[in-house]
Amino acid sequence: MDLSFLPDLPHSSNILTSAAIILFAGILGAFFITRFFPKIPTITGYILAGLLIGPMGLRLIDSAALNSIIPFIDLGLGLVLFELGRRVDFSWLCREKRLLIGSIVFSITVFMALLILMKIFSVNNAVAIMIAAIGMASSPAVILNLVREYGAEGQLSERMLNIVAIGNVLAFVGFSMGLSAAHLEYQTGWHNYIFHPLYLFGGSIILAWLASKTLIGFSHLFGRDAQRQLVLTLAMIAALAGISALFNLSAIIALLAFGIISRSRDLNHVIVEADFSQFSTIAYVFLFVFGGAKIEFQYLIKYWPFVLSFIVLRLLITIFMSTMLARFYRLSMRNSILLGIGLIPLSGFKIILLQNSITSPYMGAEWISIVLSAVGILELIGPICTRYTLFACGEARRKGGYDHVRIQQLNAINFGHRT
Amino acid sequence: MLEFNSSTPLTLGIELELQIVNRRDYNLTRGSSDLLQFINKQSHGFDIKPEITEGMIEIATSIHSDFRTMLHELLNIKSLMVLAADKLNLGLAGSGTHPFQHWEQQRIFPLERYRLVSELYGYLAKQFTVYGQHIHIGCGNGDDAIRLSHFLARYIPHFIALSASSPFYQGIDTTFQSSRLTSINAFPLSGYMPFVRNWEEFNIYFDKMKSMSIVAGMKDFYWDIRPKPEYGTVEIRVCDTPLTLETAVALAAYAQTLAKYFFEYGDQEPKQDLYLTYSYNRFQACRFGLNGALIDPITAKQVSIQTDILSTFEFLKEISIKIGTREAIEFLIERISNNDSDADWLRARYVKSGSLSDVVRQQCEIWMAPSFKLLDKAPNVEEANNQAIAY
Repeated sequence: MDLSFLPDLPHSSNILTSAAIILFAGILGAFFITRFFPKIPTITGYILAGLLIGPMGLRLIDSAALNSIIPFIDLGLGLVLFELGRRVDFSWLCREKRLLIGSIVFSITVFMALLILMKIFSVNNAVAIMIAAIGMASSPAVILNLVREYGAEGQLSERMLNIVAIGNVLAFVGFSMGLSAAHLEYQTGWHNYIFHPLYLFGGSIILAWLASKTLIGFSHLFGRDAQRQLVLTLAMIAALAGISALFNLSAIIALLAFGIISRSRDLNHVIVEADFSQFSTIAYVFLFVFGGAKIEFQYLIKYWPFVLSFIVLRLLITIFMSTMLARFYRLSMRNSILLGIGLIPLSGFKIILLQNSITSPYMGAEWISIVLSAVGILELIGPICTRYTLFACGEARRKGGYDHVRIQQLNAINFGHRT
Repeated sequence: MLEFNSSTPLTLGIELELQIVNRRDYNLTRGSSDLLQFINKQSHGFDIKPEITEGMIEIATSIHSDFRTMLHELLNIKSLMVLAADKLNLGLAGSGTHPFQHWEQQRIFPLERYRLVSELYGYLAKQFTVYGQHIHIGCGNGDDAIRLSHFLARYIPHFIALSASSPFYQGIDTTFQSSRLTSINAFPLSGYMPFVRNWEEFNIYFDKMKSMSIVAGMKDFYWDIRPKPEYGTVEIRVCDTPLTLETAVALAAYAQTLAKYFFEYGDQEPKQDLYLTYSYNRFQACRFGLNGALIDPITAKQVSIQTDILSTFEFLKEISIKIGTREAIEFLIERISNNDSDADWLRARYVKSGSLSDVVRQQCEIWMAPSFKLLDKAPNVEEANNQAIAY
């Protein structure tokens, strides 16, 4: 019997089946987590699902399949960064300089503390700068997701998002300086030390500025039509992520700056605040399942003192600095401590950053795996910390509106007069 | 028995409920606790307090005899609040409703009384996220307060139409000029005060309601006009919060002029027939604003609310000159002549921009901008006070 019509068994799933596996795993993980641990955020369910199906777990999805969905990740991350950028009000930061200065001081101090730790562990300069930069910024995806999921509103949430945005820009600049230092160490010429970060930062800002002008121009043409603007914005995010890759620019800085500039330069207020909630739900599943699947623990046993020191130091310095800067942030001491706890999630984009740096010989696979171990642990505990912060400061919205049991009790009471 | 604390007749005070919005999409935000915490870091001496949900804040003036001093105080309160709002990146706005907020997203302010109100009234408490202006007029005794309340009932459509600024609710154009009062109608103790002739009769009514555990105090009555015995005032509660402080103050001056007329010439014996057309006229004012119809229950004549207001202003001309409120009345006449109503302004902004979010942004710009038109021609504060004392 001729069975040539049957396909050859594929070595690896194609991009659509990989996407389906990730979405399905993510939603199942979220379902079980929220069902059995209602106080654990949904995204922890996504991350655990990723860990379970990924190379460290059941291997339902391998590295090649994971890499095939990177375009989805880029788009999802683009969406997150753009949304975060839109949350940053540049005019407010100019008025409220103490928040801007406080955020910069905060990031630099965390960077310096981690850098000293690297030196204690005798890490070479370039790698130390890169790892310290990675530890500098909190995860925009985790924090923005949780702020949205719990409908958190208030000064702590607003300040946290601004600190995250500023920290991420500084982290990327720091990381690219580390890369340049590595260039220098490998004697590729001193000019790289200056021109590479300059190209990355300046080029990305120019790209964001052009994208903002385009978005504002077309929004003016279309009028305040929310649907058209939504499609237009998504197109611009995709274009920006793609063009950044083409020109070796930083998609992270470009997309964050796109959000910030498109808000601050929209003098006639023609841009309608787009509702990305439908898209971002899917984007978050991709991002966090992917992040979970990429977590590596194989070097954890060997290098646990370093990983533990890194995590503990980052945790302590984050809480210490946010407490010290309480007056700068106009927060009470209690809320400043909570802010520090909320900033614990380490940026998931670092994984992608690290993937990119694999192509460079400077950091080495071992260091990348060690850092990924730390990222993995912080990815798991970070969202729980941020959730705690948002509820403890009273800015998160209690889900479900009314407590039905309480309503039944109340309705059973003959009120008489209660007010 | 409720004791009516006497106050100086014709003294004035107003309360204004304001919207707190974020500056990203201009939706209501949980801002009152942060704003109050920031403002109360230093002693300011103003009456600024939370309201039932966290997207609301209430400011109240002290007792005034003259609308100009009241405006000065309000401008000082505004400066303080704008400074705080700027630091916290919040927006403050007037108008009776937020045009696109969703009631289920509102959060009850964490105070025991509000928690109880929320438990008693269920979802109505969150739907109560509407913004009004309350005008207090001083009365010497409870009998005067009851009679003044009945007298003012005839003019309630005026106050609704002049302040109407809530055409949008939950993201749609309600077709009403003032949709805010519809939210209040849902409460069982809303509407108007029962027809009692004096303070003694009022107390009999109050005691019955209290003995049945329907109310515990005057706060439980959500009437359009109610006596406020603890302050010694009559409180008009039908106005939407106007878009500007000037309009709010001019409305208070109008109420003061009406009260002055009542105390000097008013019919001292209230007539129950006043209430025959009360609900109809009230509806007309909410639905059509100045273009609504008003039926005089005594003469059975029907006129437009705009015509009735203008003829009342003319009728009160001498008395307004006498007590120094003419300038405020002229301010209102100018608004009416220019068809300058807040509700129409909001609709026009929406037609032009196509975005309710942008409408709220412009509301914030108006409320947070310096306000001085009424003071331009006004005497200074001392002169104003002297003038007030003179009458």
